[in-house]
Formats: sequence, structure tokens, C-alpha cells
Amino acid sequence: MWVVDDIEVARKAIKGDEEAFVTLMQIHKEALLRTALAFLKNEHDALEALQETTYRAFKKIGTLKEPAYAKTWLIRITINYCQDQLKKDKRYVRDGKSADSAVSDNLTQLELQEALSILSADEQQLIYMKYFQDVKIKDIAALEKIPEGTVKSRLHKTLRTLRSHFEGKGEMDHV
Amino acid sequence: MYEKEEQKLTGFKDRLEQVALPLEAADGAIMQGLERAKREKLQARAKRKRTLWSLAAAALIILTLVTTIRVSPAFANAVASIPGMEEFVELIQNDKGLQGVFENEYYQPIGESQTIGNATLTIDGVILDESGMNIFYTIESAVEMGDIVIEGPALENQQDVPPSSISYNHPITQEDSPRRYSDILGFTFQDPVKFEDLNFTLELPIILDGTKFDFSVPFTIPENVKPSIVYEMNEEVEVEGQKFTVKDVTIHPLRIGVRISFDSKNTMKVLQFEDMRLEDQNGEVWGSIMNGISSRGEDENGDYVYFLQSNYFETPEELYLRINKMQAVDKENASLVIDTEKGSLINTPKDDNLEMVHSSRDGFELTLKTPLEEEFNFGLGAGLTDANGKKVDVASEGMGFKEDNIRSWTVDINDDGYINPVKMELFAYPNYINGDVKIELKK
Repeated sequence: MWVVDDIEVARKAIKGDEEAFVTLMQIHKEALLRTALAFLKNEHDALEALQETTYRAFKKIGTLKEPAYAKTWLIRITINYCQDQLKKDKRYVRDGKSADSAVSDNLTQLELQEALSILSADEQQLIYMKYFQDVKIKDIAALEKIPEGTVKSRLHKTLRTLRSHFEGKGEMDHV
Repeated sequence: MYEKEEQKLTGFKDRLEQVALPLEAADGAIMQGLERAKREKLQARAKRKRTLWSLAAAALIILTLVTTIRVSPAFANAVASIPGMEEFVELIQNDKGLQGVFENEYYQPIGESQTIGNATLTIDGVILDESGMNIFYTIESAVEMGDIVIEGPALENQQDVPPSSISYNHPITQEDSPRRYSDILGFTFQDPVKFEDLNFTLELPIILDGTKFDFSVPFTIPENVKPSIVYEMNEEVEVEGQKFTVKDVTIHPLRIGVRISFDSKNTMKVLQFEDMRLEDQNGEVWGSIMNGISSRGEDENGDYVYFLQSNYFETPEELYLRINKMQAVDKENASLVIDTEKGSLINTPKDDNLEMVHSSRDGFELTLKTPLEEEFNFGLGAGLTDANGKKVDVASEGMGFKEDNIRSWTVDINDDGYINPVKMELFAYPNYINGDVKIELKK
């Protein structure tokens, strides 16, 4: 086995090399599946998300300018898809308790999805990129083409929203 | 400041990382997504070149031939001198005739526009001759445009504009969402015409991201057409027992029309002339078959007109019309007859190269095996009639690539209660007869 340079693979994929594109998807499939699982309820849905991400990514790979951002770019496609799905079928997340057949298989997921569901789509992405993919604020700013300061203030606002959510939950737990 | 929240999120992340992933199934999902995207790209490519015909016996080429022709310095200079032309270069550089038009300043800049809401249509310029009008236009929008649908463009003049076939590129691919889109609307007149009055109006209804815009832009063309040159020929030739008469060749700035009538005693129906061309005494090619609209169906005299790229602006000493191969099928097999409910092919050319993939009242898909050495870039035909001879409402039809020598012909039908079987006259088919036709064009 030999080590493949991820960026080189991404560069080739952007130029339209199909084999490189498949390699790129394989390199990142773990991260993409995990992303989908953070938003959706089970393996089956996560695999659907991966298929859809592959489909969308292949069609738009030419628009990706910076090969170094291939991974975050793919994750954003996955999140966008997941968010579309959630909008279509709110029962998955909005209220885990009442949607009997659609309860997430895993408690962590359920709790996480409940927390994410109180945030806007952009805030969900921001939180996911920062805390689940460890993307630096500098890179988020570059990707979104906004100043770092803006990213920071959005992050604070989002964390504040989450604080009240968690605190609310905490109080509930004590009752 | 938000340590607790951050800890909580990190906790989620750690636990999420413990979840087992379906990694093996993942590769399958990737391949499925890829296949789906590839399939769609091919279909999109096949549908890119769309042509509308108003003639009954009309037919069309759907695939755009991609050929590379060297761009001459004269052409490059001519184009560089016209503001805004760079966006059109790609669209015209494959046609020698159009290059000649620009080198000889026969393109006429217009610059009329109309703004409706946040969209503006500009007519950048036109090329007019007796055979048609090419309108170079640009649509601009204040916001990114995701989808443009062009609906029945029309030209108006004091005089009647003859029924025309209209060609244009399918505007926007899903990959890009520009704020500026440029293309050429090509009107090919059914019969040559000369307009006395050069005031025209272009009616161009478009649907831009779901909103309808009825553009209507009046414009005046500064100079009238250069006269077309007609060579009377009336020469009968024979290829593998099939006889036809080349009646005349008319050289317009935009295209050359070669009018041909076929002997009614022929056993085969001749479809397309793929290599019809004009050559000089040294064998250099001056006009080859055009991309896009390559021919016009039968007229009232039973004649067919085939179009070549023009050599209007440069004529060599001697000029010959050459044909070496043509597409032809036995007359009784020159139409496809299909029962969409049974999924059966009732009549097809007798070479077993067509196969039914699937079929229902909503449409069908056929595969066509093509000879490996041939570049078959045609649609099979246009339009269907039902068992009662009534026109079937065809939503779309298109040719796509499956493998190197397998094409797929897809027809979508709006089921309006048509009666099976349905029939389509073949417009093109990869079965060839060969010969060596060489006729001099005499002034």
C-alpha cells in the first residue's frame, strides 16, 4: 500500500478524473457517514446521504476551487442534503418522543439532533464544522468568504442559544 | 466563556465517533451516486442542442458534433474588434462559414435591449441572409440565474417571415449559475426570402427561474443581404443502385443549400449524407455538412435540401460537390413501429441493432448498436404518430451515449390516450451505402 496525497487526488478529481473522484469519495466516506449520522436517524439514511453527496459532488466538482478544501466542501454538501431531508420529514428530529417509528437508534444522536434542531441551518453547519470536524475559524471564514470576526460572533451567538437549550434541559431533568 | 457548551459538544462528538459505520455498504452508495450523476450528464449533453422545426417532415440532429477547427488569425482579429464578442467565439469557431462572415464584416452589431424586472435581454448583433437570420443575444440578470427555458422565439416583420426552424443551445447547465448568458438563435427560413423593410421585432418568451418574461425587442438591421449565388445543376447520379438528382446548389453567407430529389423507383430511402462536401480542384474541403440543422424535409416538389457550411466569401477556381457515403435503409423498414404497451418493436431496419430496453405508455428507451468505425451523431427521428395517424404528444426525445458503440434513444410521451402501435419515420440511421459522386459547380 502506498500513501496517496489527498490534495493531489482532489486536484485530479476537480479536473474531471473519474478514478480520482472515486478515490476522493473513499478517503472521506467515514467523515461523510458520520456527518450524516449526526443529522439523520440511522445507517440506512446515512448511506442514502452518501449516495446523494456523491451524486451532487460529481456534478459540481468543477466548481470547487481549492483542492485543500475538498473535505469540508463534501461535508457541506452532506449537511445541506441532511437539512433538506429534515425539512421534508420533520418527524425525524423535531420531536423524538412522539415519532415512534422514527426515533433515532442511538441516544447520543437523539440528544444531539434535538439540540441542533433549535438552531438555524447555518448555525447547525457552523457548530458541526467547528466542534465535530475541528475546522479552524480561519478556514470557516475563508470557505464562507466572510471575516473571521463575523464567524466568531456567530459562533458566540449560537453557543448562547445552545446554553439556554441545555440549561432548559438541565432544569427539566431536575424537576 | 462557553466552556460547558463546548464540552458538551465535544462529548457528543466523542460518542458519535464510537458509532459503527457501514463502510462496506458505503462503497456501493458511492458507485450508485456516481452512476446516477454520469447518466444525467450524458442525457444533459444529448439534450443540449435543441432544434425546433415547424415543417411537417422535419427532423433534427440532437447531438452536437464536437470538432476542432483551427481558428484563423483573420477570424481572431475580426472577432476581437467587436465588443462583447468573446462570449460567442466558442459558439462560432466550429463553423468555417461563420468565421468567413466575421472576417468579411458581414456580422451587423445591433445593441438593442429591453429590461423587465431584474432581467435584461440584449440583441448584440445579427447575421441576415436569404436563408435565415442568426441572432446573437445576451440575457443578464441582477441575481444568479439557475434555469432558463426558452419558449417559441418568433421574428416579426412587415413582410411575412417564412416558417422557420429555430436552433439554440439549451441555455444553462445545472453546474453553473451565471448572471450573464449569451447564445445564438438561428432561424433557418423554409424558403429563401429577401426583406424590403429591415425593421424586425424579436419575440422571446423565456422562463427564468420559474418567472415568465415576455421579451419583445424591436431592432433595425443597418444593411440588407448580400445576394445568394445559385448554381443550376440537374445532374442525376447513382449510388449502389439508388438514383437521385442534384437540382441546384445555393450559396448563402450563412449556409449552402443543396437541393436533391430522389428517384421514386429507389428501393432504399436515403436519410443523411454525412460526408457531402464542396471541394476544390486540389481536394481541399470548402464546405462540409453543418452541425445542428443539417437538412430540411421534403418540400412540395418532393425535394430535400441539405445544408453545408458556407464558403460564400472565398470561392476557388473550380468547385465540386462530393459524396462518398450516405445513410440508407430499405424503404419498407424506414420507419420504427412500436407497441409501447407490449414493449415490442414491430418494424425496424433489418439488422437487429435496435433493442427495446423498457417501454410503457409514458415512453420508451431503445438501444442502438452502431458500427465501431462510425461516429453516429444523429437523433433517430422526430415525432410519433399513433395507429390512427394522429400526432402523439411527445414531451422529449433524445440520444445519449451508453458505451462507445451503443447509443440510447429515449422518448417521453404525455399520454393523451393515443392508440398503439406508434410510428416514427427515421431521419437518420447508421446503415450506409457507398459510392463516389463528383459534380462540378459551373457558373
